[in-house]
Amino acid sequence: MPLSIAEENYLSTSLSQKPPCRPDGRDPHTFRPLDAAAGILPATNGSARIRLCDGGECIVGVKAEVEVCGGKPVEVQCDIAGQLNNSPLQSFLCTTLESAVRNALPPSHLSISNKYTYKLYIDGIILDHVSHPLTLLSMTIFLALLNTRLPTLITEDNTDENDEIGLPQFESDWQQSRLLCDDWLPPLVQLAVVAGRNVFVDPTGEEAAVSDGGILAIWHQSKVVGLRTVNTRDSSRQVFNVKSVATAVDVLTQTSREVENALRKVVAST
Amino acid sequence: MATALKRYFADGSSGATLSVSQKVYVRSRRGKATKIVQEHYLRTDIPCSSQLCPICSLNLPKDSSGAERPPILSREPPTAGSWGPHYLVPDTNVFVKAMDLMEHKSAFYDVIVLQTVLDELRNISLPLYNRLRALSQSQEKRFYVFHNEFRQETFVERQQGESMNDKNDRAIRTACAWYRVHLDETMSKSSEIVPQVLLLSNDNDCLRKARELGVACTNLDDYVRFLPDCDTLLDMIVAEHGGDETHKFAYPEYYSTSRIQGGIQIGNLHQGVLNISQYNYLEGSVTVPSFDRPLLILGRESINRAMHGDVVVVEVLPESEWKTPSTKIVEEDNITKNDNAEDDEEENLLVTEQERRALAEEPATQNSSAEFKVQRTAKVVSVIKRNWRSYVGHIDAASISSDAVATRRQTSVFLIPMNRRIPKIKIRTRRAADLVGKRILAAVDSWDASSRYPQGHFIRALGDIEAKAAETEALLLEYDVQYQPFTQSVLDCLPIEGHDWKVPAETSDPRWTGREDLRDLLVCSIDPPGCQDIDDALHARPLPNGNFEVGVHIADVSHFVKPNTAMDSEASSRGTTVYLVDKRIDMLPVLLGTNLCSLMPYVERFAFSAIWEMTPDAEIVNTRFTKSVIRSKEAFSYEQAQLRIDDKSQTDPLTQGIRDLLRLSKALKAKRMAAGALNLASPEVKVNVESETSDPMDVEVKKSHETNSLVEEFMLLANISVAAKIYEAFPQSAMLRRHGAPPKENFEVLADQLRVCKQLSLNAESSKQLADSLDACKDSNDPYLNTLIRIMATRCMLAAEYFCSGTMAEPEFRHYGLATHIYTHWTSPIRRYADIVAHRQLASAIAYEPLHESLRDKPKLERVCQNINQRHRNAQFAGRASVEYYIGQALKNHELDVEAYVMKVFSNGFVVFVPQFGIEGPIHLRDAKSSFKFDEANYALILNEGTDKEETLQLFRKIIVHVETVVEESTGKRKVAFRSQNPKIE
Repeated sequence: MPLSIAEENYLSTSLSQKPPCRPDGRDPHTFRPLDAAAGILPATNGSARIRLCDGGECIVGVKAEVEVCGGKPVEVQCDIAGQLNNSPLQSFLCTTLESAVRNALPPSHLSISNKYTYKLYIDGIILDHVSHPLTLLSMTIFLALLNTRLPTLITEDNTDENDEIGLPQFESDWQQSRLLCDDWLPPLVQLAVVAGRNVFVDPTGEEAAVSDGGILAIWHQSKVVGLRTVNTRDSSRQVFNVKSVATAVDVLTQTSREVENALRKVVAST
Repeated sequence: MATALKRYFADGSSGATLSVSQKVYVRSRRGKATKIVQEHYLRTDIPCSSQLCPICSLNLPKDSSGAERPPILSREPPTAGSWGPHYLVPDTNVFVKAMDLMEHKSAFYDVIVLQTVLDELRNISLPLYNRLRALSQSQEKRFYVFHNEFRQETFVERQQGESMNDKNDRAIRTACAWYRVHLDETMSKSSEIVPQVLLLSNDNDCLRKARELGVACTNLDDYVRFLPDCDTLLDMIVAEHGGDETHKFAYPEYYSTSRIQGGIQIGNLHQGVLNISQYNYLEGSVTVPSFDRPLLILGRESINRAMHGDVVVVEVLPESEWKTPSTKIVEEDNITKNDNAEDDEEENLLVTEQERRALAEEPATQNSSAEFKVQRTAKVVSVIKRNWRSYVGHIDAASISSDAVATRRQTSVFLIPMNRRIPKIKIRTRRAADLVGKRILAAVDSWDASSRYPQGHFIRALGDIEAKAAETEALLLEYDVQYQPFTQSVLDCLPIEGHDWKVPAETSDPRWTGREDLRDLLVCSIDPPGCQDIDDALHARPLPNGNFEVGVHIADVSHFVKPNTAMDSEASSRGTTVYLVDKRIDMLPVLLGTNLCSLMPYVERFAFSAIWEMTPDAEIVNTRFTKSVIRSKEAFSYEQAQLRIDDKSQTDPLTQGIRDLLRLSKALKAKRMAAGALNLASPEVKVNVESETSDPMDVEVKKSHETNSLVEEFMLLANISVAAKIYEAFPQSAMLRRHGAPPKENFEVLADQLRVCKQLSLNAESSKQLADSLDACKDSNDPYLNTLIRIMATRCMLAAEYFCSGTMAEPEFRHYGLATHIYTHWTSPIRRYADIVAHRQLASAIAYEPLHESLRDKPKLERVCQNINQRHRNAQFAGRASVEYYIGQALKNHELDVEAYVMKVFSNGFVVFVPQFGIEGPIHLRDAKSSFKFDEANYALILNEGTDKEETLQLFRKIIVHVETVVEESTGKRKVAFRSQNPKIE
């Protein structure tokens, strides 16, 4: 339901004042409580589900297929309940996350032989969302990738000429499979909204609707490796103060580190 | 994480729980890795199946028809040694090592087969798994499959870091422990002795852990030692690989699976079935789709442990190594005579000097005719599927060391298989001396890269060599003919009236529904004399409009054999009736074959009729099919029918009918020939057997009457009409028969031989041209030559085969030999399974009954076709081998000189064909005193060249050979041996 002009004014003012005041009383860099679980889909190589307290829910499954080298190493697909395929939001989510994962993933992690490689199919479904689903999907993908295991190769070393024509063979025991993320962490993509000089993480739908615009940051290996602005409201107004961009990077750096640690604990406990 | 256990309350009130466990594994196939998740529902009602257990027999599982399955394990299980009455629980390894013991009648009763073991066995070897399945289904030996992984108490969850093997071993021990506690508990009030549960395992660690759990256990050898007849049983345990690493030679290692799969995919490796030459055990060939001509595999190293019939992967050798097929006869026993079975590894070389010499070719012949004979050669790089079966043979007495006989210790001896294409098999036995001179069944276990010969083990002795019973059984085993009596479940499918079954008198009976009453037609059958299974009967009568009505009536077997019954699956697996000289191995129980389905004279029988209206020139005006009831008026033999036709005084309507049939059949035949049907020949002889003793009396070549061809023409017509009808009704799943056009290359050699030796030409462009040129291949001085050429031409052709119409494009349906565009088998349902399928499909095509779903199932039909094609071939081979055996017996005490033809020429011998007996055999020149020279270009051997006794033995030449029978040292078969008498070769 759209906000009335009075509500919009009130919200906008309270968010941009110093110190800001969020409707639910949170700090700018505080997340709402969420419920996360990994390994919920037994037939996938890795999976996760995250539920937000506003009813937003996302499930991600990762499938690793053996393919001939040379194609895309990662493909992200996501369905958004209530939206048609190829909606702008869907393609925005998919392309953003696909390129984030692809850029962060060293090819050697998927390599099988000179000729064959794993290809990751990351399939998400957003069952419901009230706030912008980017952070939600990114966190679920992060968790699912942490949970992902790849079957171990039992074919002999890929050094001789056999390898040119050899089809790979895999260990049948699932317990022998290896973790995709043994010495590597997937990227996290976080969205923050800017209101005046203030930057808020995990914005609710209303906060986004009155904000000046959104900034997304791709977080990988303890630094922000990418930054982009995002339309968070209908109007075309997207004017940020340069300083608020710097603030956003600071805020996102801090929260991403915390989110990353929290999610790793989720996987460790399952 | 691999297993997770959840609990569901299935029934809240009683508190019964149903747990689910998950099993996760990776399936690696065709280079893909798929994670598979299975859910297991754990229950508490899986019975122990002991007849002693009062609890489990209260709640017996039911089969699909609602009947309870009684407990299997007996009240009085066997005892052995210090173990009292006991149930056996063998682990997987024991089944791998001792499946033959399990099948042996003298021991191993009351066996509990754990699901864990069965699953493990399936992963190790599918054939062993199938044998164990068959054992547990037959109930004869009381094998019970206990689903331990589904029973809550015996379910074992995999522990962190535990290997699958350890987990399975633990599951086996847990199940044993449970059985013991379960039987103790449930039988606590019983006065009977609680049987022990005895775990059999060869794994010492597992045995130790079992003892800790209080489970009775022992290893296989210790157990078998306490059984009666333990020498025989110990011989049957699969041989252990010698851990001896000091061998000096080895076969090349096989390529890895991944390399094979990849290689086949990109096309530099080829897969096919290895076929070893019957004249040269060092030469094999593999037909692969990528090349027109078969690939040659030459020498022991290239054949690389593959055996005849194995599915192999081969790699083509460089062009410089391409060869012509060997022109020598090479027999294994002559070359490897001195090999020692005990220390096979002692020798330094894999390929002995003798073998190398046997294969060495003369420098490539420089004439043009040899060009097309150079073939691609290849080497075996992997065996995809071993088609090892049990082989019949005899012990090579020379391979037994003398001290072994005295001490009765276990020694290695060679078993020489009856089939020359199979190499000698090393078997270990304690009873070598007893087994000499016996027909022996043995299995092949393994073929190590370091062992020149395959390792096998003894299964049983069939009897003395040359004893008729042993030889007949050997033959049936060699050709995989199922000769066991029909099981009770098959016999249960027969009509309960048995021999008293009659066509219901009342036409209102439901079995009459849809049947036409053709009892008044003048139907008769014409068959070989003494025929008991009469499949077909015929009638013809003039119609008022000047045309003729002709009917072919076939036994209505599908009325008695319904789909998906035990009888149906038995018939499907037998595929065909096998005719031996003195014995018939039926496809269907004898009650059906020779009585209820047989269209005997003077009795009413159900039939399936094809009825045509034909003009006097045999043009078909109209075709229809119907289920019917007939009463045959007479059963003629071919000869009787011929006499009746020729007897001008007979003018009754039945005789007139046969005369009409004969006239029409001639017209039909003329049309068929004009269309290019081939008149092929195969040597057919008949062995006359004295009825009481079935000792062969004499051999004659089968005679042919006009009436033979009468019946044949109408059967062909019926088959063609039915084929068209069922294909129209079921374009995807009709059971048809095709005969592929042979590739022209097949005739190249024969055409060249005819051109060089007889100045005759053979044109194989089309079947019509082939038929015409075969007719022209005549020599006025030698009337038999034409038949000989036809026999040789037949061998150049492909075998006809059954197929399911959906698997081929319509042009491929053609039957080359009969020159018809579509064909099936419909006229002999008593003795061929394909005909039963065609009957069912036709019945449904005329809306007599709905089509059973299994007849629409294309993959299933393909499997049926594959099986019956194989059975059909084996039946022919078995029949021929039986004739050969009897000819050997018939000639046992005769020696005579007969005419023969040179059929094949090698550089060190030739093969002759004797028309009088329809047999062929080699004549070696290696022992000949005369000098000889091989003239490859002219297909000739020149004897005593340059002397006044010079003789040229050219292909197709008629010679006189001396025939006698000798017991062949190598195979133990009594074989006909030839010696050339004129020209005389000493």
